[in-house]
Amino acid sequence: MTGLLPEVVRDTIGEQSLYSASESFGVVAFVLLVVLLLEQEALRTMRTAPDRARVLSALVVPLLVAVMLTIILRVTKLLP
Amino acid sequence: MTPPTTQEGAGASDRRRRANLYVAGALLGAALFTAVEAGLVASGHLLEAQIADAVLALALVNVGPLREMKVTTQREAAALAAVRALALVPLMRVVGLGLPMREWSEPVAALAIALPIGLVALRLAPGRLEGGSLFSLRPLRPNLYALAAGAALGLVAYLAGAPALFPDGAAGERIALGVAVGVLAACVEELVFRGLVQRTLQRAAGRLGMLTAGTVFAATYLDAGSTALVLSFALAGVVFGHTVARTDALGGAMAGHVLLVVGAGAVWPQVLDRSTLPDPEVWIVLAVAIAGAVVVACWRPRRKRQELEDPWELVDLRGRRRRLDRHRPRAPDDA
Repeated sequence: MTGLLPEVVRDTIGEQSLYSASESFGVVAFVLLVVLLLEQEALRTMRTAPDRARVLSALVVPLLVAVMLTIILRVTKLLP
Repeated sequence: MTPPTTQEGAGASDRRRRANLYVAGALLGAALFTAVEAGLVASGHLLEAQIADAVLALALVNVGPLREMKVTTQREAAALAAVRALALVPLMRVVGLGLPMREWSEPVAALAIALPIGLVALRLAPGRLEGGSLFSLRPLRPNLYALAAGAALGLVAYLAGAPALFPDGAAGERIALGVAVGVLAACVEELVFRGLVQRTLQRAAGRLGMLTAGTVFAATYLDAGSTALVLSFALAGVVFGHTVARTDALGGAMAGHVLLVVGAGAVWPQVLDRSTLPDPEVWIVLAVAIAGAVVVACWRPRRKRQELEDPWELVDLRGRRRRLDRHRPRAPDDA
């Protein structure tokens, strides 16, 4: 067991299909990723908060991994 | 030296107020995360929990002025760093729930979250990893206490109902994968909660920061089901947090956490059968008392001021004391 991924989280995701999980939990992760990327771009353009931009660029990485994995799995399900 | 003008005094007071505000923001963020874990995650309202964590992460990362050039004092910068570092914890939940892990085995799912979160924590952790200093096992004594506490708490966690790292009758590769992922997850937890959250919070809020980081760590285990198991992880958080605070390195805490996880999930299930133990509660109380004694042993009061003011002793930036006797001038009667 690990605090990074509690059992209740694993069980809940395990009970749902890929489509229903990605249309609820996946959407929240995707929206947060888009907001963070937009903010990062805005900060990069304004050049006023380099520290915050550095933190944002680090934080988007795990979200990007989760969203990309979801998209890849959904696309591969479409393939014959 | 000229006395500060009224305007300079007001500026300093403003900066102090802002730093205090950021520290309060970090403590509030930690309290809100704990509340989300206790109120939503533990009761199974996971979509609501994920939305709350996403909002919290976004809020924490955006604390502070838009123009960072206005951050002028070290304490203000440390407080801002602490608030932003804390954003990784709710983000970890958002990512965990966003992963498409329906068809993945347990170790693969844990690996998929541990690797990216660990890399982010490594990137944001204060203090560079020069010569692996963050993972150092020196000084040895407090790190040995952490190892002993980890081993004792592994037994406590097993008796309290911690699940095994691999199923009964698993093949060699499955056992190796389960143990390897358990070890990796333990190291990543230490990197996140002690290496990043505690070290930044401690710089801004001192001992309160250490306790807050321990609380956030324990909150991630609130769904474990058994109170004794949650308490044993909370105790582990305090012991490892104290070790990191004393040594300013993660080696001992990481090794202790690995002993805890491997003991509870792999070693003790092979040695003991908890269903046949006569009264497990007594064992739990005993082991908790042992671990408590370890905490007390770790606690060492500061040396007396006159000792620290010994002019022939140097305390370097990492808190290590060095004698400078070879530079001391010899007295005429020294043989």
